Amino acid sequence: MRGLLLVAALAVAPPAATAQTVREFSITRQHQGEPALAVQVDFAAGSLALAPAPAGTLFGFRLTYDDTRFAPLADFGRGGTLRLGTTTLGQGGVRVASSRSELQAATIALSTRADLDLDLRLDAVEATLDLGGLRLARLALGATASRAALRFAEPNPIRCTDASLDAGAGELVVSGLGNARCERLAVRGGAGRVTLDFSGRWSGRMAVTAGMKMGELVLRLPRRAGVRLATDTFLARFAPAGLTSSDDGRTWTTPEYAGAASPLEVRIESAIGGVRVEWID
Amino acid sequence: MRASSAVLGRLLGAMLLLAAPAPVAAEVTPATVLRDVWELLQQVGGDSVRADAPRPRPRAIEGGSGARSIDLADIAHPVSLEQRIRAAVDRPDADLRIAIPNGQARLGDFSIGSDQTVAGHVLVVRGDVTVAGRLEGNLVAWQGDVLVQPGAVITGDVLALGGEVRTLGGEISGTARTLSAPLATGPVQAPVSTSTRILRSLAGVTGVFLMLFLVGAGLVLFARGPLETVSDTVRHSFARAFVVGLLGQVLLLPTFGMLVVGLVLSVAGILLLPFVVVVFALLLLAGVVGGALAMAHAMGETLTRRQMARGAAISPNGFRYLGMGLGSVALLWLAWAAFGWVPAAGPLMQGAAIIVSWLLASIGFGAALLSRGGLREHFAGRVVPPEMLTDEYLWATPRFGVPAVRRPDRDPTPRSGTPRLPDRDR
Repeated sequence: MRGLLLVAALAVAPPAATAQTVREFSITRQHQGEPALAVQVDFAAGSLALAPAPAGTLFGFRLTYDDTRFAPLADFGRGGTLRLGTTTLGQGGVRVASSRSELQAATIALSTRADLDLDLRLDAVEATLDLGGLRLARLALGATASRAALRFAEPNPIRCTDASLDAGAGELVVSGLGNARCERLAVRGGAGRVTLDFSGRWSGRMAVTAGMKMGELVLRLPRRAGVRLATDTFLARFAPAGLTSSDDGRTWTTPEYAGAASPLEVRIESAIGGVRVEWID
Repeated sequence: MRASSAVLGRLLGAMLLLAAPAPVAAEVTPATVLRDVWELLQQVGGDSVRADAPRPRPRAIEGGSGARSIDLADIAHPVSLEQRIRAAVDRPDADLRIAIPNGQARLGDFSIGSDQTVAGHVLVVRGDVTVAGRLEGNLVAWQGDVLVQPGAVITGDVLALGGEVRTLGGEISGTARTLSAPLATGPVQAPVSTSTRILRSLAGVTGVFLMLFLVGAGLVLFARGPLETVSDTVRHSFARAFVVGLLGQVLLLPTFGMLVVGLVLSVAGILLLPFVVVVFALLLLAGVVGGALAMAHAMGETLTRRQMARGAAISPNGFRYLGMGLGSVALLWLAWAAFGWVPAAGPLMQGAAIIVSWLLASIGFGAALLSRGGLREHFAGRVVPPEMLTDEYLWATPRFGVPAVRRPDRDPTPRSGTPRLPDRDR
C-alpha cells in the first residue's frame, strides 16, 4: 500500500521547473585622449547594435545575456585594445533556434574621436552596425550564420585602408559604401545573399574584390559613378545592364569610368550563384 | 522618495521603450509586447522591494581574524568578483568581516565629500556611494548605486554589482562597469507532472509507430514484391543481414566522402554534387526505414505462422505481418513511456529499447543492402517461382508441394511401339 502511495505521489507531483536567468552587464570609459582603439567583438548569439558613442565617451557596451550559457567579455588594455562580447560557458554554443538566444542583446557605442581598428566576429547574430561618422581605419567582419546590416550613413572622417567582410552562410547588406572611404574592400560570401550598396559621398578610389561561392551578389551602383567590373565567374549568371564590355565579356565599364576622379573597381569571383547589378539614381 | 522616483523613472523608461520605433529586424507581436510589459512590471516590482528594504546603518566593516580577504586591485572580471563578495557578505550584518588589501570595506551608504581624498580601494556593501571628492583606487558597490558628482575624480575602476553607475560630470580614469542582479526569468519550462509526461510519451510513441505503420501499409500496397523480398532475406539470411547492416553503417560515411571527393575532383561532377547529396540521403532514408519495416514484416510473419500452427483461425496478409511486427517493437517503447520516469529503471528501459530498435534496424538495413532494395532474391531463400509465393498460396497448400503432372494418355503404348514420356521429361 505504501509503495502504491509512493508511486502515486511521484506520478502526481510536478518536478522542479528549470529557470533561466538573464542579466545585464555594462561597461563605459571616458575618452581621455586615446588616439586609436583596436576593437575586437566576439558575439555568439542574439542581437547586436553598434553605433557612434556620445561625445566624451571612448566606448560603451551594454549586454543582456543568458548567464547559464554565456559570460560577458569586456577587456580594455592600456595600449588601446578592447575586447567586447560574450564568452561561452560549458553548456554554450550556437543554437540559432533557441529562445534563449533571442533574449541576448548587445549594444556597442564607439568614439568618433579615436581611429578605430574594428574586428567583428559574429556567429548567429542579428546585427545592425551603424558605422557612419566613426573614424574607421580598418574593418573586418566575420559572420558565420548571421544576418548583418552595415550602414555608413555619414562619411568616414579618415581613409580606411582595408575592409574585409565575410558573410559566411548568412545574409549581409552593406549600404553607403561610398561613405566608407576604404581603399580596398574584400567581400566573401558563402551560401547567403550579399548586397553591396555603393551610394554615399565618393572621395577616392576604391578597389573591391567580391568572392562568392553559392550565394547571390547584388551590386547597387550609383548611376553616374565611374565603375569598372572585372568578372571571373564560373557557372554564375552575369548580365550587367548599363555597362559595356570592352573585351570578351570579362570587363565591363560605365561611360563615366574613363574620366572619373574617384573610380570604383570591382572584381567579381563567383563560382555558383548569381551576380546582379542595380542602379541607384 | 528614492523608491518612488526609481519606480517613476522605470515606468517612464517603459513608456519610452513602448513608444520608440522597433528595429526593422525585430518581430513585434502583441504577445511579445505583453511579455515585455509583464517582465518590466516584474522588474519594477522587484527593484522596489530592494529600494524599500531597510538600509543598514553606515559603518566600517572590520577586518581582523576570520575576515575574508577580497582583493580589489583587479575588478575587470565582475562575475568572479561577485561570487567572492557574495560568499563574504552572505551573513548577518553584525557578523561581517571583510579585509580589503590596500583599502577598506564599508556597510551602508558611503560618500566622499568634495574636499576629501580617500586613498585605496573601497568596497561598499548594501549602500549607495556618492563621490564628490577624490578616490585614489578602485570602487566596488554591492547592491548599491554609484553617483559620481561633478568635480569628482576616481583614479581607478568602478564596479556596481546589482546597481548602477551614474556620472554627472565627474571623472573616472578607469572603466565603469555594472552587473545587474538576475533581471528577469526568461521563458521557464512549465513544470510537467509525471502523469502528463507519461501521457506525452505514450502519445509520442503511438504517433511514431502509427506513422511507421502507415508508411509500411503504403509499401504493402504499392511495393509488396520488394518488401517481401527484403523480409524473406531477413528470415533466411538473418546473420548475414546483420553483418552487412553493421558494415553498411561503418562504411556509410567513407562511401559518402569518397563520392563527394570524386565528384569534386572531376570538374563536371561538381554540378551533380547537390543532386547526389540529396539522392544519397533519400536512398539512405529509404534503406533504413524500408529495412526496418521489412524487419517488422518478417517478425510479424514469423509470429503469424506460429499462431496458425497452433490452430488460430487468422488470415495471413502483409498488413497483419507489419502490424504485429511493429506492435512487438512498440511494446518495448510503450513500456519505457509508461515507466521511464522511474529512477534507474527508466534509463535502463530506454537503453534496452534503443538497442533493440537499433539491432532490428541494422538487420533490416543489411537485408535491404543484400537484396538491393528488394530487387535481388539471391538471399531470400526462394526455391520456387515467385509467383507461387503469395501468402494465400503458402498457407493454402504445402510450401514444397509436388507439381501436378499431365494426366497420361489412356493408351500409353504408342503405335510405333516406343513408350511415351510425360511432357515434363522430354
